Amino acid sequence: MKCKEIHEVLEHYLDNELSPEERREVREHLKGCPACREELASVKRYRKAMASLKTMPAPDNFLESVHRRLDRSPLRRLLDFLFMPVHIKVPLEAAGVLATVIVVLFLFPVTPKRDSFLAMREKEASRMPAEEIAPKAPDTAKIPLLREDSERHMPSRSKGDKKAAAEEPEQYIIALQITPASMKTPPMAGMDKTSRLLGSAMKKAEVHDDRDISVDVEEKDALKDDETSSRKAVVRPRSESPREVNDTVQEIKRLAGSLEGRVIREKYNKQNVPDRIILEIPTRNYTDFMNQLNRIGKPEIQQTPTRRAKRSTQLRIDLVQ
Amino acid sequence: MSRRANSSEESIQRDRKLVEEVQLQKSDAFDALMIRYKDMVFNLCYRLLGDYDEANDCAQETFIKVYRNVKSFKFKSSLSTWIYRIAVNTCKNHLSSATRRFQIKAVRLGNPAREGEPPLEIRDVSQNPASLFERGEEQQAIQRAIESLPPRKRILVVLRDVEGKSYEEIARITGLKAGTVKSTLARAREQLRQQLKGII
Repeated sequence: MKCKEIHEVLEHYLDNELSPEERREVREHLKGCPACREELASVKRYRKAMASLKTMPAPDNFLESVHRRLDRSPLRRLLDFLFMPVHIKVPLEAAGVLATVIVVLFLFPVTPKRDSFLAMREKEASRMPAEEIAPKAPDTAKIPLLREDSERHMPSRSKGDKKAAAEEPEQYIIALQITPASMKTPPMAGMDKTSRLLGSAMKKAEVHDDRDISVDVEEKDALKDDETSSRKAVVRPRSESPREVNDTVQEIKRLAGSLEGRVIREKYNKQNVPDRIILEIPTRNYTDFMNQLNRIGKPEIQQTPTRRAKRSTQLRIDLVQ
Repeated sequence: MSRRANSSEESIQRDRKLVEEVQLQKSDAFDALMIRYKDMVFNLCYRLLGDYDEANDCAQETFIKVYRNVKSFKFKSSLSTWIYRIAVNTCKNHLSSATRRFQIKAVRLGNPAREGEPPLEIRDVSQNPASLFERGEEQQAIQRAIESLPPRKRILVVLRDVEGKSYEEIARITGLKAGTVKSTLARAREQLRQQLKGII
């Protein structure tokens, strides 16, 4: 046996766990190896030292302490477990809560809701006198608020009101004034002056926002010259052709499709011209839909649903000619 | 040999009677059980934790667990092995708790005895009742050396070299294989002897 192997079996040698043959080999090696004899002496000293450690007796009041702890109420035990010792556990737990909050805020950042922003704009607009309202503002502020925002500004309903609300249909009802085709497209190059002036005048009269109000000086002068005819043209009620109505319906359908919506139902009048279309669009796309609808016609909200739909919003669009 | 076997048999019978009385909720039966094992449990906790108050807390916790679980004790092992197992697990949980690591007022020497092992810790034991008990410098040095071992090695050294348990019993208490116990214990002893060179 080599010295390394002897060192490995010295413990077993002292515990009498070796076979007689192995014991004899170890004994023979130890006789001629001072280093291994020193190692054996070291192991013996270690054992003696460990065995010399005195037994530590339990404190005199040990039994009483155990009984006191056994008699504690479960609530007290839980509180002790959670908060004792206070100067160590409370700061550690506070740090843990803070870290959790930071992680949650990092994973789910708090951003102001778009609808809330619109509600704020509307509130501000309602406070201001009508003439002070900037012409551009109504473009977005006009859009009816979703239920959760409108509810914040409304006083609490009485029981009767609630009953009535329950009977209301859960959809937006929108009256859409169809914009004539001539208003949607820019004037053609070959158009005569009267037609262009008529178009500009109608635009000025019907479209309240200033998006398209860019009548040039020449047109204004021309309007002065031909004032009477243009006024008559503006006030004269127009009725759109079934073709234009159909085109509008197609545009609405395309718009709904582009915003992940779908057409639920279409209703036709006696002349077989569509006069109502019911759509369903994702609630998150409602604002975009209303913005786009402003370009197709002139929407006017007749009724808003009593409850805010979580995923999809239903809209009934009545086509007004 | 025969006398030792008889003594062991008597001890087992006494434990069985004690447990049955505790299970029947006889008055003072649990006190008798505690009186029989409290010093053994306290000493084990003290050697594993190295702190008098923590040892007291863990020893009490051990007996509370014994009291709450004694109804399900089926004598699959001896009572002392079962109590040792509870005490070792309680101390192990305590050693790994963040609270304890925070509580240790120790100066780390930053010069570990061996690479990969935790550094030697010097505790402030001047007010510790145990330090009054262990006046000998050698005893204190041995205790500090034991504390510097990682939990598993510490448990094996205390059970084998301090408490004098057999390898089989240590395997039953710790749930380790006997081979693992022997090899880990050999490494722990080697580490301790190196640390205690010049002291013992």
